[in-house]
Amino acid sequence: MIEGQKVKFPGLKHMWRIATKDQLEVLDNAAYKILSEMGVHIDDKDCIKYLKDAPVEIDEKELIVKFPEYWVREMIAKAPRSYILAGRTPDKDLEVLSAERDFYTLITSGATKMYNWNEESNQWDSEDPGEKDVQRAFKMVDAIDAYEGFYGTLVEDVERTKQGLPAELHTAYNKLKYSSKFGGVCAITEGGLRQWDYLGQLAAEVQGGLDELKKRPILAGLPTCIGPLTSTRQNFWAAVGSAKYHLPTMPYFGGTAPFTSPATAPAQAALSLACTHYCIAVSQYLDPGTAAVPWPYTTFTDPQTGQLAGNPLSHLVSGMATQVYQDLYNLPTSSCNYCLTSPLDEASANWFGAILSQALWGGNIAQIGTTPQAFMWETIPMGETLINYVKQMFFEMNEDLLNFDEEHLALDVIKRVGPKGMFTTDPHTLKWIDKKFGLFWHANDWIHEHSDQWLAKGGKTWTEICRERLKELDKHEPEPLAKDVDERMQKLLVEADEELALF
Amino acid sequence: MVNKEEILNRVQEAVLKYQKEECLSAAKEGLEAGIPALEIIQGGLTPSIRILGDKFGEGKIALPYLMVGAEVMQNALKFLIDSMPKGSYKPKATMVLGTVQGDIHDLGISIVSAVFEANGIHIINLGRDTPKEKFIQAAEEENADIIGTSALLTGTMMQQKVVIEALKKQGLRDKYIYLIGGGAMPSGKWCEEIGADGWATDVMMGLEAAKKLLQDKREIFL
Repeated sequence: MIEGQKVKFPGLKHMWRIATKDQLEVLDNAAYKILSEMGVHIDDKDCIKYLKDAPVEIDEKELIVKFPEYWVREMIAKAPRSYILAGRTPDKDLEVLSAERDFYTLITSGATKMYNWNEESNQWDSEDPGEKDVQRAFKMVDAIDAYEGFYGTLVEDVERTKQGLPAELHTAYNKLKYSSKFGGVCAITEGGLRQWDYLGQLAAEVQGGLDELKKRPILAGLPTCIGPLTSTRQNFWAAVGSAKYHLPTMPYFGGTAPFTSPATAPAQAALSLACTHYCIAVSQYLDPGTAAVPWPYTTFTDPQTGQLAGNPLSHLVSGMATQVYQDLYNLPTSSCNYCLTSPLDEASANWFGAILSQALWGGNIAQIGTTPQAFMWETIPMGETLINYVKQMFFEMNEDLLNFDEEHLALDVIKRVGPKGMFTTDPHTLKWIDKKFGLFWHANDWIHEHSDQWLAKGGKTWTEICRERLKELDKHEPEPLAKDVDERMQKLLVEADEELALF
Repeated sequence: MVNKEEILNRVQEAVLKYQKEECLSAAKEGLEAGIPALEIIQGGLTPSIRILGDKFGEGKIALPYLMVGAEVMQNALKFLIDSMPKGSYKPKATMVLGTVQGDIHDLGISIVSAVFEANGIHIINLGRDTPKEKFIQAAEEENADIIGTSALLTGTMMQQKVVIEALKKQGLRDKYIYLIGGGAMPSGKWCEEIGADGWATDVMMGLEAAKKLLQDKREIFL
């Protein structure tokens, strides 16, 4: 019997494929053609200098770099096929051992605005998040098993950003202090490589030194093409900064169709792959053998309204591009699913579709993205329920359960119980429910209760139930950092504030 | 010499580990060693099934396990009761339970049986498709406190009224607590309409109703 035992997610026996292997090769070949014939605009001469010894073609006037196919392939081949994304302690480590097997869910958002439900006025209050909100979010996520780590942040420290201070470093500190899970990517902007140094030192303090950090990296970098074939210095620094501390990279494409990415799915996938191939190649060139978790995503902007919107097309494209890495390179990948509309009931329905499709298409690191435009706290427990439902489904699909041998077909059991019997207490039933009991998901009471009972308890909506769960989550106290470690980290932050403050 | 504590612990452990033969064997050894059957029931079987009931209530064990535990307990209980002079064993509360005539769904009453037993209510399970006469006859014979009727289908829920009307006709209505349950029930309104004492659509709700009614009407505190 499993009582409170954490069960490692088993992975899928058969991942769903959107395109055939031949079709995936068409996309991959197109990506190489884009890189070798059109190239990438790297907007900073100092960044381009890092590539001076690589066999690339540099147009110094236009700041465009073209990458030969053989070299990009060579670089991608250096990326390891298995690695650890570390927690503060080994029991929190995420072992990614194969593109086909291991699946983890990391939460992200990056919201700079949040909505708080005001119970007195019965309406939402729109507010800028500050450090207390940053800490609250990290502590909550630390309490929820469904979130196995962070991809990015949940809410940003807007107050500190307005003061011109390196808020990203403070947020990273708070993440490392208020959660012991894998911290994921850190977006470093104007602070540049000096800020990466502070980040590396903060992470090293938590992991017990630089050498330990290299073995068990708790943070990652996000080298990016933020637009079509466009890599800014901030994007490039992520590769350089990660390389210095041997942090994993999560190469990403930040295009949005049909504006900075074409309108058709294969074109979006090819462009996305070109950009993530580029990011992997640069990272591997700078630090061969560092873990790379590509995130070949394309967002979608509604052409009618101009609003960033959740769209099935973006998930399809992301899934297809993800499968290129898995099937042609055996590289574990990341996928993404955001909760992208303000009405929470509509958002949760869309979000569930996105989580399920991304999971079925096999992204190893699934980013569970709560509302990035305007964060709502209720999405944290909502996401927990949705993930657990998907995990439960996947658990049923693993090879130990979805098997077609005598034991699983159980004709002898059916015969033993017979036409008038019940299977409930048969040893076969007991044996197999043990493997599932209390695993990931069960319905909130109101789903299977009689409606009158639900009404008698106040007829709470799911949002209201999630709001109540927030109060429980707020009671969670994460494992504290050692006092001396915390003191050294705070000292680093004081130094960083002095050195990097804008005014 | 057999240690009483040891025997009672063995009985308890056997229920908690779902060991039917071991439970019966420990109960037999207890009797042979001169431990009164009632003591084995109250000191061994009752606390162990309550532990399982609590674990189920806390979500720590699955329902089938509770049902297996109840089976283990029932097996030993029957043996111990048979060893006692007839009529000398009286559980705290007894409920006659069945699915109404025409309704063949008995999963619900099996669940109710296990959970109620685990909470100290002895169940006489009449099974599915039970005619009104059988409910009344069993209640009279077993000196029951509660009659519980279950109906999954809206087409058979009228039978819950048939049973209570039969009780009224025979002047037995006030002798029993009448509980109705099952998936057919659209609301508590049906309970009011037919004059039942309580209603439930799931086992825990039914248990709460039964406990409250036993307390209010019989001064039985479980």
